[in-house]
Amino acid sequence: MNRRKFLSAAACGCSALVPGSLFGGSLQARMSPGFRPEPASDENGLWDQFVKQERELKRSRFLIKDPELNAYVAAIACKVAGDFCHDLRVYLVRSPYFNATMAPNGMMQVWSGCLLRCQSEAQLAAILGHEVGHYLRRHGVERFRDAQQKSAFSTLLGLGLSVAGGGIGRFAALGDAFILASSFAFTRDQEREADTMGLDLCSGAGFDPEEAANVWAHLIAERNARENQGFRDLVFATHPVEEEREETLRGLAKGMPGCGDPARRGRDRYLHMLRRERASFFADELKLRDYGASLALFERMLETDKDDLEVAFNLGEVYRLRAREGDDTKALESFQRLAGLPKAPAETWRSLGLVRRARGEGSEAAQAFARYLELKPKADDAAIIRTYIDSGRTS
Amino acid sequence: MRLLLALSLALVLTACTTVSQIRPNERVVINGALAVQPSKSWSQVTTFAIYGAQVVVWTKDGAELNKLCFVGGLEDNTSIHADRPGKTPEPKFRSNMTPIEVMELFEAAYSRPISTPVIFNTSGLRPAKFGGIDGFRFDFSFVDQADEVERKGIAVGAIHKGKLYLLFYHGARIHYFGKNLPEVEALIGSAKLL
Amino acid sequence: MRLVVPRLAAWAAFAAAILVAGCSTTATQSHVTELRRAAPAPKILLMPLDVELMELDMGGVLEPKPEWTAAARGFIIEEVRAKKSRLGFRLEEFPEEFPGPPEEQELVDQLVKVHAAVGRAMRQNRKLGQELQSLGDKPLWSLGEEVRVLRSRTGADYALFVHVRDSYASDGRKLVMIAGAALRGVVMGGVQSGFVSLVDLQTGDIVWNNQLGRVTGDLRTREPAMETIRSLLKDFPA
Repeated sequence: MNRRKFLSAAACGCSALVPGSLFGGSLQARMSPGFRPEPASDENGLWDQFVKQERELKRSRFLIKDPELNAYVAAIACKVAGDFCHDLRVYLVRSPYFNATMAPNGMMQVWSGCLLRCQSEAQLAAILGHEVGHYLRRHGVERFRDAQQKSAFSTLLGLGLSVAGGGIGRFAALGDAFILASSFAFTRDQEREADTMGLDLCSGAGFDPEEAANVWAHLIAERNARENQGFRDLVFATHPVEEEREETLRGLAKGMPGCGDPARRGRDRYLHMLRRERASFFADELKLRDYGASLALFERMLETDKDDLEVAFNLGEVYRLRAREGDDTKALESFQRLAGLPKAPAETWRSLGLVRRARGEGSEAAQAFARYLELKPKADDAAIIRTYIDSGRTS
Repeated sequence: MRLLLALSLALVLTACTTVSQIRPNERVVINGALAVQPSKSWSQVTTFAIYGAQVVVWTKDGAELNKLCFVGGLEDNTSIHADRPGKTPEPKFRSNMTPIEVMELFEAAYSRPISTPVIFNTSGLRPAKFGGIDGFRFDFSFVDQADEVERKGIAVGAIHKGKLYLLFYHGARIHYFGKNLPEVEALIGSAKLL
Repeated sequence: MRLVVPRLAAWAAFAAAILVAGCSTTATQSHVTELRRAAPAPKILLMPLDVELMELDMGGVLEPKPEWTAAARGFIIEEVRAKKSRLGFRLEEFPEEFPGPPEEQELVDQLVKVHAAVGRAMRQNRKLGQELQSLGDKPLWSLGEEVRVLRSRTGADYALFVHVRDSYASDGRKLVMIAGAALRGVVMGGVQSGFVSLVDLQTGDIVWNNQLGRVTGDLRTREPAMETIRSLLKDFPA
């Protein structure tokens, strides 16, 4: 599932500005705390769908298990959900895409790509708030009931087209917990409701509601920086352009308590907590080989904290891995700058060595590798690196 | 979206694969570039691939259970798999790559999620002989969320005259990886670069 | 003590009844191999059922249907228990809440998933032109010795694995399928696969496996479900 697919899958879907129908007043929850559906109802059947998925999710290798990070995110969700705090269960999932989902039975998933891209508690709260909005308005049930009609129409439409055509979609592996929760795509009106309600909840919980729009601004920057744009899923998109979304969210946030107040963002605390698992998130991000988007992400993270050495290192890695014309110079500059700072990660010299070597600068490469092994004599690839040092010194 | 779901299921279930027998104790030449001599019989599975066939795939018990794969003489500035439409381009092999970078290339080629996330780990990169020349070796393991079957693997390779030669084997951590490992090691020992 | 094999006549009549009722259109395939002689009544561990029933809606989306799945699971357990009474083996059903340490639960999960992969490999191997010569004439499929943990934990001699994936076309879907056949489009009919295996918990070897090619018996309601499941457990070598 590529980054773009979050548009159809994510809780953070888009909603269009519906002319003349701005929801007046706050939206109400369509349930009470501790809600359970009627035993024989179709809603109960829907609920059950996720009970088993949740049991399996608890045993999945893709679950992030760090207790402190889990507790931290759960606490944010709890604040946002207010009285409904105990109806939710939050699961952190290792998947490098920006996504968060909410199942009709209260099971919430937040993907690592989302955690990485948020830069404050308020940003994460905005995403979680949107999800809780869908939950409290029972959009899942609405969609479930509408699903047959919708899919029937699209099939009739599709019969005329070849099955090989069509836009980017999502694959749902059979019994797939991760996709199932988001397989009921929401309508624009529902997305709009979730936005409004989400912002209400965030603002009420003491978070700056404008951060929601900022999340979208950053996603837009990443999208624009992406090198391969793919093709938009025009036929099936329920979401309008991201810019519209950002604008809507910013408009909705105005006038809400706490809007624009930096004291209500919880930035430092969030960034501190994120460091617990960040290393694997960075590795997953690099593996996507989505260079332009990764650069935009890391550059933005450096704007937030220019002294973040791990981010600076990963920025250099993007250039090194992309290896296009001129990238080796950019990589070299990044790593050299980093190498001059105290506490630079040891891998800086390893990467410096690799870049030097690719440029044919054998002896400089050998020096860098030697420095790496000084810092990390028990490195997993020490044996191989030693061969580079030897060959470098002779070339 | 749903059309593509139907398509994907159709492809999964009716995938066109042809199977051919690899006889034991007969020399096999891969891509005119790499020769091996298996001591037991294997099956070569060729799936109709829209996306290019730089990798030759064998199996013993079935492709989901174990796979033995060969890259025989990949040229400079070529990717292991062909680019997929609408996706970011596949990373390319470069003749001046170090084993570390080849391992990164391999990891990128095999862990890029298609529709479900993959957890992929490499370890133990070390120098090794392959096909009679100096090369490298590493271990790997992965889980694809699509089936959550844990798999283990080994890979050996070398760069020779600017081209990449790779042999890798992986299988289900339960039983199927270990089952053929001794034979795979023997096969690695028999490899010759042409 | 020899394990009792069901009387041939009874099974033949039963099989005939199924065919007449049109429950399964493809012949079942069964591999009964020589079983190890166990204690007086061998103990069989029923592994967590790997069963999922889904509905294929008009858009070609597979929606898991837990009510159907729950019903099918119920029928399967009922039939396995009925077999136990008829044939006299000891049965332990894998508990919903596993009492052992997390690593063991993970192992059990992996065994079930690998069994699914093995079953698919077996099925693939029987398709025309897809036989793997590398398997030899008498392939011995196995889950390996890690299964011994189950033996030491439960004292069971064998484990029974049941894997079913089945989907049912909604009525709207059936209309679409007919229309689709008329036009040249490919319209998915649904996913069906069912197989059961008996695994020797000393060696991990799959000593008995049965595959159902196409399940037209409806697993959602009692009568057709029981017939289908009995068909799956046909020639159960206990």
